Amino acid sequence: MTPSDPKLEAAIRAALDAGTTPDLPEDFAQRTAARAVRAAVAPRRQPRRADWRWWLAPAAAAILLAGVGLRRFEHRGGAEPAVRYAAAERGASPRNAARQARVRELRYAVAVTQREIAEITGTAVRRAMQAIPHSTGRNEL
Amino acid sequence: MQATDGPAVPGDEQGFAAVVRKHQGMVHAIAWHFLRDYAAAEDLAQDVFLSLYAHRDEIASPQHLVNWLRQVASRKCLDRRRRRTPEPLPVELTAPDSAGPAGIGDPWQKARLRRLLAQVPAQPRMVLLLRYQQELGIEEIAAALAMPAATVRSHLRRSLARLRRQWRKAAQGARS
Repeated sequence: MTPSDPKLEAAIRAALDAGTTPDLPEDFAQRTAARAVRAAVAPRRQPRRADWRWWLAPAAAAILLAGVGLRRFEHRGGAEPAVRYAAAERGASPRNAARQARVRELRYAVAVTQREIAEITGTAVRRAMQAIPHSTGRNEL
Repeated sequence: MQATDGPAVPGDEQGFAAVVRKHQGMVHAIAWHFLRDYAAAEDLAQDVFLSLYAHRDEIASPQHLVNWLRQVASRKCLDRRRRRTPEPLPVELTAPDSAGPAGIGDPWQKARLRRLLAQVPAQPRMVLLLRYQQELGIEEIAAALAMPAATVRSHLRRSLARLRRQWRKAAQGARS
């Protein structure tokens, strides 16, 4: 049992107004009972089933924006995985790698002239030719 | 008191109001002495009785009802204290209508002891409150707070030692 300290215990009892209860408003019991009965009778609120629909529009918008962004990236020099891999191997940026791939394609597959390549790719001849292996980038024209 | 053959907590409004009226003082006293906020204690007391109404079928006897109310009130008090940050305590902690029996204790001393009590951590404070305000035995407190009787004794011993130490310190400070 706790060590007896009657004086302190009596002081605590006095401080806590032992055995007494603070008064509540007169209508407390009636109000509480009415509220309890009302709460029991009232139908429980159903969880909102349509909540997930609110997420649908933002999610669709996000997917759309991501798609558009990706397309733009691809269009502006973003590259296919193979090209990107090759670019990473050579330490070139994907955009540059894509341009170089296009130049090589024009040079070897389509066999167009350097000037035409430059015109098609929208770059200077020297820069366009840097994509060709063993090319010095010098203007051969 | 309910008839032994009827339910301990009636479901009709008037019957339930009578139960509330009978026990509201005990529930509100626990809440008020613990929270030291009259309005919050009233809210908590109402909350306890709303829970009682929802669980009225589980109450088997009037004694069970008293224990249930005490237990739920104590737990709700501790939960509420856990959820919110303790606000600074007012200097004078007297309930609006509860000055207590006149002539018992020095008001200054009571106020000082209340301040010391307010500094005791929540769970030991609830133990002190049930022991000295509600005048419960160790086993009853253990049942209400769902803790072993040894823990209740330990809380009491430590809290009393702490209060005794602070009390002496404050008395020495007042003398010098």
